[in-house]
Parts: sequence; C-alpha cells; structure tokens
Amino acid sequence: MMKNNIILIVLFSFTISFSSCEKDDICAEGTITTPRLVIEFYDATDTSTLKNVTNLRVEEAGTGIGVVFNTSLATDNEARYLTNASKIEIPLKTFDDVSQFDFKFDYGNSTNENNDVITFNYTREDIYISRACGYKTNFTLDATNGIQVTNDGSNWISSTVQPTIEQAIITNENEVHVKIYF
Amino acid sequence: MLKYIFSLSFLVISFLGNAQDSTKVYPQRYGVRVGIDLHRLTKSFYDDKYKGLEIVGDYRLTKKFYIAGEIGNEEKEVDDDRFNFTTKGTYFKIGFDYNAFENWLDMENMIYAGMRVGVSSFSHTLNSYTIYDPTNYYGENTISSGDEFDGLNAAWLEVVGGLKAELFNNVYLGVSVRLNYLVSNKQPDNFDNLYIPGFNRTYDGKFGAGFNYTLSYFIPIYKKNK
Repeated sequence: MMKNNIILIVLFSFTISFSSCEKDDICAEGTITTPRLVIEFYDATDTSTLKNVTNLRVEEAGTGIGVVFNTSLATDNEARYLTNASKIEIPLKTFDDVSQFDFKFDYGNSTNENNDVITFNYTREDIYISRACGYKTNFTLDATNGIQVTNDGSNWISSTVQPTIEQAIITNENEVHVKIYF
Repeated sequence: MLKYIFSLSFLVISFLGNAQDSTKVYPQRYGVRVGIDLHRLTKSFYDDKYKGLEIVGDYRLTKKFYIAGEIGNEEKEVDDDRFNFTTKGTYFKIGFDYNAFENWLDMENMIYAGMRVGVSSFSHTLNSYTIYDPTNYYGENTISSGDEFDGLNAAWLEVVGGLKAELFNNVYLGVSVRLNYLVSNKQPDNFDNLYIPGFNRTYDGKFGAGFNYTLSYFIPIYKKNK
C-alpha cells in the first residue's frame, strides 16, 4: 500500500517537473543598446551657435527610406521623417564599416531641395549586454575620414567650415559625436 | 451492522498485527546504490538539441544518513531570442541525503532532504547572435559567430528534496528536485554563463533549479540491527 503511494508520488512529481516552463525575458527599457550617431548642426558663419535645419530628411543613400525623427506620427505621414531641429540621431549599419546617407535639406520644396551625400567610416565592436537584450554594436569613427561630405558643387553643408568629430567613440546617445556647419 | 462488526474486527486484527510486528526486529541493510538519471537519458533521444548523462550514487552511512553524489556530462544547444549557443561540460556533485521516512517492516523507501556541493567545467560556442538595434532601420542583423569560450567553471550549493521507492528487489525509482545557489562563476569575456551543466539555466540572480528522475540498483554490503 504505502509503497504504491510513494511510487505514485514519484510519478506525479515527474509530471510536474516536465511541465515547468521558462519565463521569457524582455530587454528592459532604458538599457543602453546600439547607439545612434548624434549630430548637431551649427551656423557656419558663427561656429559656436546652434542652427536649426529646415525640413531635413535623411535616407540611407539611394534607398529613399527615411530615418524616423517623429516616432509619434503615423508611418504614412511625411513629417514623421522630417526634422527642423539642430540635433538629430541617425542609425549606423551594424553589419558594415561604412554608412552613407542622403541629407535632403528643405525636403519637398521643389526649388530649394538640396541633397548632400555624407559618408561615415568607422570600426565596430559587438558587446554582450544580457540574455534579454543580446548584443549591441559600438562604433569608433575613423580619425581621418570618419565623416565625409561628397562635393557636388552645390552643397548646403559648408565646405569652408568642415564637419568635426567631437566624440569618435560612439557608445551612447547622451553626447554629441559629430558637428556639421551650414 | 454485521458489516461494521466485520470492519471493526478487521481493524483490530490489523492493529494486533502491527503490535506483533513492532516486537520483531528487521535488520537494516547497508550498501551502495548506483543509478542513472532517466530524464537526461530520455531527453537525449527525443530532444536533438540535448545530449546528457547523469550517474547517481549513494552509500548508506547510518540508519538515516547517506553520502550521495552525481556525476554527469551535458551538451545543450540553447536557442534564445537574441542568440543561439551550445554549452558542453562535465559536472560533479557530492553531499548527503537524510531519510526522514519511517519505514514499516522491512521496507526501504526514502523521503529525504539533502545538500550537495556542485562543480562544473564547461565551454560555450556562440553559434549566432542578433544585434539589438532599437531603430531597426536596416532590419535585424544576425551574425553567425562560432566564437568559443573555453575554460569556464562554476561552483554551487544545492538543497535537495526527493523520494526513492523500491519497485522490486533492490531496484529503486526516485525523483528529486533541487534548488541551486551559485557560489562562484567564472564568466567569459563578452558573453555570459547562461547555462551551466549540472546547474541548468542561470537567472539574473544566483538561484537556479533542477531535478532528476532516477532508476537505481542497490548492492547490499552488510546488515545491522539498526
């Protein structure tokens, strides 16, 4: 009798142990993951003064896919991809050491729209975060050609005041990495 | 009424029977019990991402105390959201079991609690990982890595609770559950010990859990009256 009971308990605990499951982890909000490149725009005539851009749209070069600047707007709203601020954040490729963008100034204005192509060269490092977040990529902009503006003869970005790299090692979005003058 | 009298007399007889039994001394058998973890064994067959084997053993030291241990080897592929890795390693656990079960007559079942010290030596191969990029502008970037993280080890304490029942002559079926507490953990560079052979999945804290389901054979060595 007693022996049978014990055997039953053994079988029962076996069933329970099998049905146990693992909880799914979610990457916590606020975790520092892959940082975007932070760019600030300055006045080329007064290099210490921040200057707002006018309806700037940034796309991965040649793709026509805009970087999102207003996440609160609907995906079919043009303004979602436009900015009039003096500071922007754009994503770099985590699978390539070069990211090239079309910086379209005064986007949608048929007479004034001006596209400048900017190339960023960097090295990458993949860093472990946690089980839930996986890995992130940190970037280090090349010292000599970290940022290059393609000269197309009619750049809106200043060619006399060259862009500067303020923080070559990109590990978070709390600091300005690059300054662009126009 | 007749039925009740019959039952009652049956009960009295059974009590009498018990009273008689208590005067008779059943010698206790002492020896070594060796067995295998059926869970790890069967999982190796039905789960193509797992290969493992655990040999268990105990030696009866006194009427209630057993020296107990486990030795095992595991190879497990973990397929998480953010990465896929394979952990391989060997572990060893040693400690004791205390049998809290008062056996009737000559029965030799166990309901026990115990402790173990566990050590494990292992390595991970990171098969692939996905970069966490909240913008997702370029889509998911999953990298086939193949990076190896060797020479890792961990040590932990286990609190064990379990049962062992004698199925038939000297053959026992057992189950145990374990709560693990990680004491030391040599972490790899740029990865983590998300799975430790013998300890199982690790969590943010130091606690873990495990179980086994054993079939073992008792080899009697000597008998004692207590």
